[in-house]
Amino acid sequence: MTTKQKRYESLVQVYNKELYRFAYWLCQDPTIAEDLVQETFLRAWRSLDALQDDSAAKSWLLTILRRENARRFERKQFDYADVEQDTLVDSTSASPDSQTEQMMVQRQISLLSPEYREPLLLQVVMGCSGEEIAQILELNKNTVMTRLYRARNQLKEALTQVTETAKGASN
Amino acid sequence: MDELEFRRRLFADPNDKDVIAQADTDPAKQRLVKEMQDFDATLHSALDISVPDDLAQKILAKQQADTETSSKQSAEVKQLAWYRRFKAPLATLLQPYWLSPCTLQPQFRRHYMRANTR
Repeated sequence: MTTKQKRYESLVQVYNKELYRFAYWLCQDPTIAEDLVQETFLRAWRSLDALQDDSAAKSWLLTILRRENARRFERKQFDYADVEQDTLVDSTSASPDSQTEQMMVQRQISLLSPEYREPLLLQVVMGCSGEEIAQILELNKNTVMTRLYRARNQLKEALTQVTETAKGASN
Repeated sequence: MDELEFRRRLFADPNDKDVIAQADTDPAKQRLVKEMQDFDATLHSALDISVPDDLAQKILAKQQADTETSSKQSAEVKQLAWYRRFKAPLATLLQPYWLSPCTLQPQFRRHYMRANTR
């Protein structure tokens, strides 16, 4: 096996799951998420020599994936507005209560505007730092931190509201 | 760091070490740090959806197929390059033979031109 092949396989093993989760929450469709990740890695393979430093691999792969996602809109193969919000998949929760709570959280995350959702996904799903997010989204770090603050603030408020409404309905 | 700055930075990153250090001597801030870290754990768990089992294999299979296709294409390009390299000298060598009826035999040339003008 060549060094290039080994390097590529190690990137696939390390990042395929995280990238899939990020892609899923970006487009909210499992099939499109899988296609996006496959296409991202194929492009990464073709230009692997351009990646000088493996510590920059995550940001590099995310940049490719975001570009692929943008290309999807250019091709107009898929209309974001047509995404069924009800197709949200459940994660590996055990009890029905925690499953309901998770679905509630998922729904609120999907309702965040993309400018708040994307930095949050990069931070929580991909474990990116403020600097990395700023670099990937081509924003300055202060803007990123403000968006992250607003994203959590909106989510907390929305979830509190939903919980209170649910409590009120059950009384 | 004032209260507002503390809150903004904590909400932006509940694992920010400087912010957590600020809460050391303040129980109210400590409670808020704990609340935001728990909230982040909830977010993390909600976003932690299952990934198709065979995703890594599919990615590698696609790359293998791409490598095979591109090596096949590069072999074809090499063959074409070989043909192009020998095409010019070959044509130069053969040129006198297929031009000779026209250039060396005026009779044939006249006949050929008449046939073409009809």
